[in-house]
Amino acid sequence: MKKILALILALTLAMSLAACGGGNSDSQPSGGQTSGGDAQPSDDLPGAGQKIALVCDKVGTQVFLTQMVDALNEAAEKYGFTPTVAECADAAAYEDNIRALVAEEYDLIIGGSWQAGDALNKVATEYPDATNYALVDSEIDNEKVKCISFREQQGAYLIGLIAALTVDGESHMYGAVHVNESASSWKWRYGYMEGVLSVDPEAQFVFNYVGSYSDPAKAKELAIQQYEQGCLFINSAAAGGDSGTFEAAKEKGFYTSGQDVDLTDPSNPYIVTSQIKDTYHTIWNLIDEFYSGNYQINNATWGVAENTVGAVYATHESENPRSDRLTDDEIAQIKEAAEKLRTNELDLINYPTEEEYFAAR
Amino acid sequence: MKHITKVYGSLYANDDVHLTLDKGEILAVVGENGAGKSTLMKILYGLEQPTSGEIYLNGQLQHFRSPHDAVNQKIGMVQQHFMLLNPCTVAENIVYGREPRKGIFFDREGAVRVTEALCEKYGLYIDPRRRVGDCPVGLQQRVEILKVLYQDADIIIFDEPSAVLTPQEVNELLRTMRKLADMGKSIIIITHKLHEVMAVADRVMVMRLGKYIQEMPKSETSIQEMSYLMVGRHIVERKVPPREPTGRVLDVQDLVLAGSDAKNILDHFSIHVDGGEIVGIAGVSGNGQSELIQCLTGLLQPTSGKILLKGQDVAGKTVGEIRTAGCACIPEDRYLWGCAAKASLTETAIMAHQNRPEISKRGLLNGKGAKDFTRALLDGYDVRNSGQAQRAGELSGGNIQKLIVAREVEQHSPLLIAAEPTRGVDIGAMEFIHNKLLEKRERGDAVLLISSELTEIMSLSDRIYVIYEGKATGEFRKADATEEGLGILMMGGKSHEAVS
Amino acid sequence: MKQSHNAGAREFGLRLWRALRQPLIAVLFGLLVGALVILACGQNPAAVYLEMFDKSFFKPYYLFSTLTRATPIIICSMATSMAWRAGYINIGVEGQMVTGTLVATVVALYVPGPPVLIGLLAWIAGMAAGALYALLPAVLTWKFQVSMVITTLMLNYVANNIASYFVTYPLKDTSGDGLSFHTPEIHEVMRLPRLSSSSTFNAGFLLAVAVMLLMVFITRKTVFGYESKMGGFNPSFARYGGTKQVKVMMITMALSGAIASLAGSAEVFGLKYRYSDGMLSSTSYAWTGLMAALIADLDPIGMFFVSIFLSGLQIGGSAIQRSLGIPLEIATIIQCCITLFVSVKLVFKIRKKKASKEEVKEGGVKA
Repeated sequence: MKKILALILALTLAMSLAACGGGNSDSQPSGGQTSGGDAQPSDDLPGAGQKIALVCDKVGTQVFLTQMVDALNEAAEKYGFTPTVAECADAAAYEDNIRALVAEEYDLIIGGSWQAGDALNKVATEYPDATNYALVDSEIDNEKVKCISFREQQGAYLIGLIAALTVDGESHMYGAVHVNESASSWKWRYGYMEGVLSVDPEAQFVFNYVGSYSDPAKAKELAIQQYEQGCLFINSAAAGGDSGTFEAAKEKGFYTSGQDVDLTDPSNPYIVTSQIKDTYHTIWNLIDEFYSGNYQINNATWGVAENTVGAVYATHESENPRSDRLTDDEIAQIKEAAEKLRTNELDLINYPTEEEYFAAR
Repeated sequence: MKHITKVYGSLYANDDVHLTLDKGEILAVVGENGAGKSTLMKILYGLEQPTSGEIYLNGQLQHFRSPHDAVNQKIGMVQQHFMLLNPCTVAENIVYGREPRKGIFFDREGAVRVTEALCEKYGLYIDPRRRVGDCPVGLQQRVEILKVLYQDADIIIFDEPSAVLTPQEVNELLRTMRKLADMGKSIIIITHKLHEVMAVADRVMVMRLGKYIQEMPKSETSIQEMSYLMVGRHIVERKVPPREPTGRVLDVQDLVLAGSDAKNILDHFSIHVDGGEIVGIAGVSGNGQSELIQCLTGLLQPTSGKILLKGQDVAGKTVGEIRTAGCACIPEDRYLWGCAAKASLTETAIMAHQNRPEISKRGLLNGKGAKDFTRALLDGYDVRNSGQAQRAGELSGGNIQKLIVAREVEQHSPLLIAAEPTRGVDIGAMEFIHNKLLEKRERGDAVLLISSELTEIMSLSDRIYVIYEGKATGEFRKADATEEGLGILMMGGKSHEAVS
Repeated sequence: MKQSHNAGAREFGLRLWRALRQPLIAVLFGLLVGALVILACGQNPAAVYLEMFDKSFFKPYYLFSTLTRATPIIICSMATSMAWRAGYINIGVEGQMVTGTLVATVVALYVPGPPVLIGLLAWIAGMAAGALYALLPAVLTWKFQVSMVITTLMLNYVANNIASYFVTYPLKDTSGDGLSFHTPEIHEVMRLPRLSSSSTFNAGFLLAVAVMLLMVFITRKTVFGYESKMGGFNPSFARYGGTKQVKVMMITMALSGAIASLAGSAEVFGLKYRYSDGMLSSTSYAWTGLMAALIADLDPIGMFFVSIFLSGLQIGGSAIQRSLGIPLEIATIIQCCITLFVSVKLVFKIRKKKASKEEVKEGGVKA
């Protein structure tokens, strides 16, 4: 019965993907080509008859999310499970959706970003054994939820390195506009500072916080202030506020970098690189592990070695033209650093706390 | 016009009506409010299309789709509400729409010349350079007439032309009409004022309930016959016995309401009303009557002066306080002040009664009490309704007015202000309301009657004040009051002129 | 006796039909347009609607979800209608809700004392804060004749931004990875009891029912309700009748704000157990409530059912997105179409009124 239901669901999903291309194309850009495979889950695949759901923000054209959706659909083809993307229109929808997915007996529920954290925590506490829970890009205190975090400090290190090479000693002031100042955001600052200092030992840093995930106006204002203080490179990790920093960069002529996905832009040469969180590989890794036979509900932290963290030109290539501030030699230097991070020859997995760091300096 | 029928929904506004008009004739179309006179004229002027029926002009079938068509066929209409541009001059208004030009420019002097020629031709004199807004109402009407004449109309329709005029202005208007008819123009006058008909018309056509009733030459009819035909029954001339007033109820002393410019809207206005008398305030609309009512009822704060109600100064108090002190008011505009279109009849009826013990206790409404109270009002005042849940806006004008009168009379307050109590209601309702006001007087309460209908004031009032530009310019006892005397004061004349 | 009882029942039936007729027609048209959109997506509308209503109303679990989500929407619609029916266009319910809820949460978290008592105090403090926040535009209107539409709308932003500031900085829960902006959780004793073991359906819904009954009582049974209603129908009429309009305005707005705060408090104390940034604004509870109020023409019972229906559309919309991959926007389209058709009704009404007024002016006789 359940199988038939799953089959019908898969069929209708496939139909919707094929037929509803117009309405749904931006949310699942490459879903169409893979959906043929989902439609007929054969019994010998390990995931046959199973259902995995991704709970996330409205996908739209957010690359961070479309990559996850792509990975989910491709993994579904490989393992034969039925993939579902539950988009959440508002703050209350996360909990509603996760509860509904539990009620609908899903086998793995993946929270696609930090917004799902609180809801997952509550539902997993209430129904600890009903299903498997995983959360990407955030860490919550719940032993039933597998939290996958990123070694952002590794990516930040690469950004810092690129920043220093871009500035080339023209200024020793380095700026950064981040979302908020918390214990967990220290790794961003730490990695960035280490990366810059590896080239420019005289560097000084200005950090400012937008205090919101979606405030381009404030981000822009902060970036301009930092520029006035002499910063020639301003790292932007202000989520939805990044566009404000980029706008300021274009107006004032300083260099900047984005966050999460490749945000370099041929029309804005001042965005020289972008820190990458490779959600595509993250979802693949997670589902591979889920079907590997030794899936463990322990928290995982993945970094450059797992292909989940990096930076444009260091670990990931870009279609957009490279800034002429970076020479081929410098790119080689950056790639070398990335390789050292991968092999952990350059150890950023362990790093001091904020207190320890400043006490040591 | 033959077999004219106009249907609005289930409403026959005109039902198979015939109308003929000869050259140089004045035809009066009479009937109560709602008899369908205006609708008929709108059809003739192209403002409305008939549901069925035909219009022939000089033997030719016409189809008027808009007033433009009618104007082209030399039909003109002087509207009840003037369509004039107040900031412009008389000449500009008259030529508006067919301006004389110099090249592409408006020829202002040409317009003045045209106007002067027109005045000369018809003997209607007016200063072409004067701003219309500065002209008194009678002159504004003359501008309207000249405008129609400028458009070279042969048929001129007057829609309730005397409603806004003083008696002197009315006489002037009637003379003008006669003169135009003598010059070969055909005139239709719509009115429900029968003495005007007697004064000017050649022929009379009576309408009732949308139907053509009868027509006859003026010489063969009388006011009595016409009113019988209009209403469908005989109206008895009212005889109001005199009554000795009891103590002072309302004493208004030196009431001043400052306007936005230097001129006061109410200018040291002083009147008094005793118990057991009806005191009328006569005046042309817009001389401060509305503001007077609003000051007396607390809707406006007077600038200075005293309003003594039963000896207590209520000037500047709130509406609630003044109502408690003993004042009820039939408002001049029933849809603005008197009711809410969406409110049920119960909700309409209990306004200002809502704190009475049989309707509410400690802020909680007694539904049954409110319904019983409303039932008593509806039955006692003959308000035709389809149940208390009916919306006030669904009642006809006369019925809603009766309900408002009921509500205010039943306040049993020492003072009742009745402002335009019968405006726009039919003769039956008018009679009923007048009787209620007289009953109120019989009970020894004071009634202040403010009306622009001089006949109403003269037939009901024991004493009459005239209001002109915010001043009380004259006081008459009923026996001394004549239409002419009041009229002179209403026009701003001096009181000795009125008496002499 | 029996006859009057029958008449009463008939009148009630007639009233219910009158209250629900327009919304039902609007809903029908809304669903029809939605069906066209679904067809354009290449899906079978009947199947999609079946799935949608199955997973919002018919199956108990989803019905509970629908009712849970409807709770703040119902209360918001009541808060809206409280002011609107008196003629005060309060579109600041969101701001009043946010302010009241934030204060309630702060009291619940930081005032020392026995949790039960503090819980109660928190609700009251929230209502007071919501009421005060609603009085602000009322006072501005009274003293300076400022348009209430503008002030209430603008004060939404003020409240949202102030609340954002508080949960981002001083009130932020720093446990965990600190990525989300929210306060710590409130004490377990203060949480509203769940009414179903399998879902989050909680006593907040009973509160919503109580608020609806209170609204019915106020509108039908009190002099205040009568006076405010007349003021809404025709302010000149109410003024002329001697009602104390400033007093009515102040009480109306204070009640509106206090009720609004209940919507958010029910969400915090019954569902989320903490205040998180954007929890009341991103969900558009106030606006959905406003929509419900408009659709039901401010009738409390009508608003109650319309709110549940709109909530069901949102829950069902999520469900068809999950299971059929239909874009979430379909539910939004249906919702907007319903509102659109209701506003068509409004225009229609105004036109009809105008026409009937002209008839009165011209007079005429019923054939």
